[in-house]
Amino acid sequence: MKKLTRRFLKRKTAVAGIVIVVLMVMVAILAPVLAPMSPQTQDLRSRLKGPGFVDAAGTHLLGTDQLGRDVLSRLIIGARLSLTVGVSAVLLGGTVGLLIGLVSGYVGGWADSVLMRFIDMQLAFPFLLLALTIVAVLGPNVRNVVIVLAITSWTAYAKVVRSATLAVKNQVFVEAAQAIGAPHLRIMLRHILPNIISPFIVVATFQVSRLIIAESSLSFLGLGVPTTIPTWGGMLSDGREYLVDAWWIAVFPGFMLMLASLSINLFGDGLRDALDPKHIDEAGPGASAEPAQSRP
Amino acid sequence: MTGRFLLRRTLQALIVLAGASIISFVILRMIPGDPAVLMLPESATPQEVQALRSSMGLDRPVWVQYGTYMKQMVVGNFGVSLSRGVPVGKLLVQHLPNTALLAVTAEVIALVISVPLGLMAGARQNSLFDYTTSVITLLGQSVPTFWLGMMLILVFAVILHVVPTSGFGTWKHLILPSVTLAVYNLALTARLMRSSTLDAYNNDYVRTARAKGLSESTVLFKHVFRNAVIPTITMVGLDFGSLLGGAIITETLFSWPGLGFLTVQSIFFRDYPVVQGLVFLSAVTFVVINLIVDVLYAVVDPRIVVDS
Repeated sequence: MKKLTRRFLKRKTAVAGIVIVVLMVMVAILAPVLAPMSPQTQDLRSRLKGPGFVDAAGTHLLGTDQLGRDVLSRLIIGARLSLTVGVSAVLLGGTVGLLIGLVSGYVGGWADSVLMRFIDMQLAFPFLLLALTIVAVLGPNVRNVVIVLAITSWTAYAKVVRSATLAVKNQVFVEAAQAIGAPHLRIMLRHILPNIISPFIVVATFQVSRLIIAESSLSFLGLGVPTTIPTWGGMLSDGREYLVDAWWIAVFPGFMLMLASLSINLFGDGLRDALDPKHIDEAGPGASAEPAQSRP
Repeated sequence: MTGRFLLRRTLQALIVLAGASIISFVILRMIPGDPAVLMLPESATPQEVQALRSSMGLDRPVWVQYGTYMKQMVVGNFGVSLSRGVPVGKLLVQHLPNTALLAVTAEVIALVISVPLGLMAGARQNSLFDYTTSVITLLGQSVPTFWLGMMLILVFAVILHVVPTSGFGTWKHLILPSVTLAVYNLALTARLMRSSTLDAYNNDYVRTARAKGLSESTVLFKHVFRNAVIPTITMVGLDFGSLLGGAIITETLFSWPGLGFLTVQSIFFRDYPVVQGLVFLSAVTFVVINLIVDVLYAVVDPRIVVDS
């Protein structure tokens, strides 16, 4: 663990990534305290005013939106939802993908073949087509958006975990455990899992950034969380209509999305290289792209 | 590559297609909202709704509807769009070329820039050029497509007036959407190209080539490039499928009349036959491209025996 931390800290970009991530999480947690105004208070007399506009409510550092709401406050509160949805969807999809990939790789045979065909079937749907359809079925709310994102992403973990399990399961320590009669469940959880967890964590990290963008894409298309909750994607969607007259509505939430995604990706890059020193020795920092996945 | 390999892969592809069509058929029927109600004016009586439902076959069990649908589809009939009254096949044929134009342009932009960029970054590992490329490509991967598109509209259409904000027609309409669509793939391909270039440098054949006294540029272009480009082919192939399958966000943002635009509209209007047709089309694209990538693999690198 010490070695891991040292390797991670050696990369400045990775450290920058984690610093930004931590700052964002803190902003999200402290959002109600940090937000200078209520994100919901409307004032139509102050609508579409640029950054620095002052009215009775105070100074709107980043301007106001089409209903006169404070953009900065909405941005700060919006961080909560974006991060929560991203992380929850990764936890849910990751757990499902991890378990299925582990069992599939360990058991092998026809169960494994069926699973691989099923993953192919799902991959045959473009990501957003699948997400849009399922949101249309379940209805747009926060819980359902998390479920949808988990459904559309579990295959990524399942594939990685399965191939890692295949590589590990024929090693001597697994055979030894089998030989002394250890139950399969114990072998999977105690012997295989610790050896395949690194690639899983790396994939999961990248997925957080991917799903944050995906959530905002759904909001952008009008099938995300209800518009009463401030989200970066929803703000962008509003801002699209006022791009000519009030650029600030769209520019700031998009920038936050990019910053969140970039910092998580930088963190993921550093984590991958720290977990896989061979990789960094041979290929240098930021070497390989994460596993191919459909665009968010 | 033998006939048996092709046969097995084709069979697998058919299973995937059938599965995808069943899944989408069932999911679509679960969407709340009755297409018959959406199609009729609000003043329609329940009897009229019922009559329309039964004429569309919506009152029969899902599996019967699926059977009918598959029977028709085998002879090339995808049904009729509920919201537009046009055959689905015709709609797909109308929209496909627009998406293909957009996707091909985007992919060309992405490849022309990313392959040399990745190759050079890999060849000069840890140089300033390498680090700059890493940061730029990571940025390209992190930027949300719709925001990037909006910023491009803001700068080039609203402020500079050099291109139209959205729409379709002239080559100028193509610029912003194709650049928007290209950026993600460009970044991904450049990163992959860089890492496969680094991998290729570690191989014996590079040592041999250098030992023979070949110039560094010959080593790079003749030996490293050829091997590094293989994973790139795979990814470009697979990703091109996802581009064709509908650049949903980009097309919606730029009102580009392609398959992605059609997808969003059809989902909102509960236009089952059109969505079903789109799913089928994207599933076919997915399996065909996977197959082509496998075959290309064997052509580019004869050491790969696909059967094993």
